[in-house]
Amino acid sequence: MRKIFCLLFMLMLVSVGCFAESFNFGEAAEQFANGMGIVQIFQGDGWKYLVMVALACFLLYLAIKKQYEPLLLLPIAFGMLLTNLPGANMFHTEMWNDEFLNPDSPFYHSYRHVLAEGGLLDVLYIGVKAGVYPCLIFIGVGAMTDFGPLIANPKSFLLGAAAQLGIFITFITAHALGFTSTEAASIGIIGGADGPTSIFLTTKLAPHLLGPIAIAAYSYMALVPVIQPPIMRLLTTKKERMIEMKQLRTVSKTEKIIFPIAITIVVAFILPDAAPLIGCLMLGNLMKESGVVERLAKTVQNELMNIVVIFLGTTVGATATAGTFLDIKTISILCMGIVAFGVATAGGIIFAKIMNLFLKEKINPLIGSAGVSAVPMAARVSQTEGQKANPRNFLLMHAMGPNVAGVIGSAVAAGILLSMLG
Amino acid sequence: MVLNLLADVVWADAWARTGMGFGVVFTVLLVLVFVLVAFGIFSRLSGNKAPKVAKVVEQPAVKPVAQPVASASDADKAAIATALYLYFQNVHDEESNVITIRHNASSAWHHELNPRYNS
Repeated sequence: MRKIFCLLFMLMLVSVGCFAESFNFGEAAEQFANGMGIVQIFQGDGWKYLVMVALACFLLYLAIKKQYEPLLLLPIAFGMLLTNLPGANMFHTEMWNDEFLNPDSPFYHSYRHVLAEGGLLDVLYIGVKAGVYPCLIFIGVGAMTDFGPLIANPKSFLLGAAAQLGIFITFITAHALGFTSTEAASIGIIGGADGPTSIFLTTKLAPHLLGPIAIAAYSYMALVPVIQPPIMRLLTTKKERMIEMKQLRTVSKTEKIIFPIAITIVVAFILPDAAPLIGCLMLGNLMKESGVVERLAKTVQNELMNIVVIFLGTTVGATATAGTFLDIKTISILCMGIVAFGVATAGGIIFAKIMNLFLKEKINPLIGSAGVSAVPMAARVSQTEGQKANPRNFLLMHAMGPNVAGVIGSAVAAGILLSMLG
Repeated sequence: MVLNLLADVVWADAWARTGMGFGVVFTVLLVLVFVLVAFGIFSRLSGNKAPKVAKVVEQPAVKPVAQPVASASDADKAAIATALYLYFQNVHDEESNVITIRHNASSAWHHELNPRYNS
């Protein structure tokens, strides 16, 4: 054994001797030092990396400790961390912005170039770019959603429509702040409180804003229980919050099966641009309600959904690079996101109050706030606020109607914005 | 980048898009309301026809129990409502999850099982 070690040591000495003439230790050490991430932080705009890493850690804290939408916020935050590690080169923003999206580039819309030259996150990002992940997520969402309360009370659709006011008010506000029409539409869709829809529309209209918009959409969705209650209490009286609603009728299985088919046909006939999202949502729902493809329904609810969430979250987080994220635009997008949520909440509540002027059986205006998608958190907020005013109030199932109507409404809103500006 | 507040915006265009967009969303969902209402009416009508057909068939003269399906459904709803109420009131029982065996020297079981006392 000792002889072998001696032999190896001698070989090492000989090899060092052979390369001694060509090997410059000082130069190699300098090259190595310059390649270190910590050195890059202190060069030029390197401090931005540090800020982004701190922000990613803060989002990880929110996801893990506070459990704010952890399923999405955790991969998004970690994707943000990976992309902002100086020198790691896991995601190439320039490959997408300067080459893929540039009509003058030889690699314009070339997925082959991305596959050949890109890093791991670049390859996974193809699914976002092609609008595949949001649609796959919608299949899973559809398979997990019960549209029964909406079928039992179709008026809920109007509350879901009214809550989309947040999207269009924010669209105008973003215009006023100097954003282009496509950027304004992408910012406005945050008001739909629907992550996949926000990502779908933004990748089509303003892909350079994907990072801040996705982060704003998912962060504010998690903050629904904080954002909505003050607005709900401000816009309603205690008497209105105490209104008890009648039990919803029982919905037959036939109705639940025909519903997704009918909705897909009607929406696609009126607004074909909304067909990918609505079609996928209803496909998932039909798998669940038909009861004949239980294996498929379970797969889209669990395995498919989880895999896509990992890919989507990580790659969306990766788009939040220091160069694109640390910008005054991002701050204004985050501010407008709160405005969008607030206006959407107010829109639903005010419309519920207007409906009460004409209805014999009054509805509790608190269910209007559930018209923002954020399923089922917004409905739970309605339930909680209703019970605070009247402990005998059970609004959860009533609020689920506008809540799922909001999902359809935001997808329709995305479709109309896409058809006008895409 | 400095934002150009209120600058270079074609307001007529922006407002037209906003109005049209919101209008279309509302119209599409209103159409869906009508579709669902019509569908509900049709479903109820077709649902009412079934018992009529059943009436043609002679049934044995057994007094039917008062709508067992409806009452079961109501019971389910009541149970869900109660569970929700208890959940939000935070009055659900909480177990300490600590199992403690207290030795009671005066217990007959204690004497029987402990060989020290039997000897």
